[in-house]
Amino acid sequence: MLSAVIIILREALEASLIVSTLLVSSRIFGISNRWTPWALVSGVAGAAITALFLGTISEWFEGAGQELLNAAMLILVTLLLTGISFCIARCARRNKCPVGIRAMQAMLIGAMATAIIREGTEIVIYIYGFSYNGQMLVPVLLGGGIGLGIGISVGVLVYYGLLGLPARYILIVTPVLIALVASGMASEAVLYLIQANWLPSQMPLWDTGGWISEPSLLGQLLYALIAYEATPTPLQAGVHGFTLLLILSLTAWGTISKDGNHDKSGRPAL
Amino acid sequence: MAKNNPGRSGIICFFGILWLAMTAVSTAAAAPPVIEIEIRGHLFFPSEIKVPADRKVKLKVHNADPTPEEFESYELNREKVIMGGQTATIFIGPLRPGRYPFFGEFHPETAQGVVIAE
Repeated sequence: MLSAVIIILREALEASLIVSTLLVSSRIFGISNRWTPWALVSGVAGAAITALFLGTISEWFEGAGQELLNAAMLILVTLLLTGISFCIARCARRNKCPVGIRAMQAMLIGAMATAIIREGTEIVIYIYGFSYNGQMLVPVLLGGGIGLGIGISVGVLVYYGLLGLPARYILIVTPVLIALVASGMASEAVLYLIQANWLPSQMPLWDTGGWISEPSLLGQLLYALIAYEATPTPLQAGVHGFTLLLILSLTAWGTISKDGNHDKSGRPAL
Repeated sequence: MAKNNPGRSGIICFFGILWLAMTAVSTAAAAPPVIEIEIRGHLFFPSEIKVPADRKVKLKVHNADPTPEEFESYELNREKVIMGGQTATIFIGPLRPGRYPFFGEFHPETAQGVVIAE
């Protein structure tokens, strides 16, 4: 049962961190959370459907289908998170939202649903694999429930932790968190493409496993948050760092008003 | 109009060169060796695999069990779900000489193996 806890927890942790930052973003935009149930339902339904067809999908593109699908979902979420971060910068400080409420809701729904599909598919397949075996199913469901519960709790902590900060810090920490998560997802996408031989593979750039080993608790937490890898290839590390800088720069640029001044007096809609 | 063309053709050129470069890099190397692994009864056969170091290697993992398994390795940085009865292709390497454990995430107590690069 313990392995079930850990397996589900890993996926749930990644998803719940994204869900929390998106919910905080929604608060920053001053949008009600009415979009959230739609995102949750489509995410779960999407995960079930993807799990159902994963066998078929995996055969596509000469066996690279699974990696391509994962990479596509990760890149989509990265792009949506980038847009959301930029909108936080423009809307909250400048009251110059570049897009309307419907568009922001669409980005939030898209990011949340896709993230849930991405992590949820594995959970569905794992549990489905034990549905054959009645004896094992109960401990797996229990363990999975516990793992899911822990993952959700961490998300709740992050949500209230962020909202508990003074208003001006929320507007800095949230985009930074989004940038960290999004750049991590971009590097995960690169890793999947390397695995499928769609991107060149290289020797690892460094090995930080001696400091923070991937299977350790800290390593797992960092993996869920920023896709920490002890032995990234130059391409992976490059994409990770470049995407992080890109999103941070874009967001910082978004806070600059038209006449070149930073606006520090804007009241965020929180 | 004239305004859009320089930007658009610049982007096309960039991706064209990138694609050519990557094709050149991949065709310059010889085809990677293929190694087959089978999952049966939540165990890997063989569980110890020797691969040449410093080269890309193609693993073909066949899941002979009816239930899905996930091939995973922290050291190799690879993870892939393999549905029951399916065969998955996973590229690993280039690896420095050493031991790289892998496991079946869905049955980690039994499904364990190691890739030895030398």
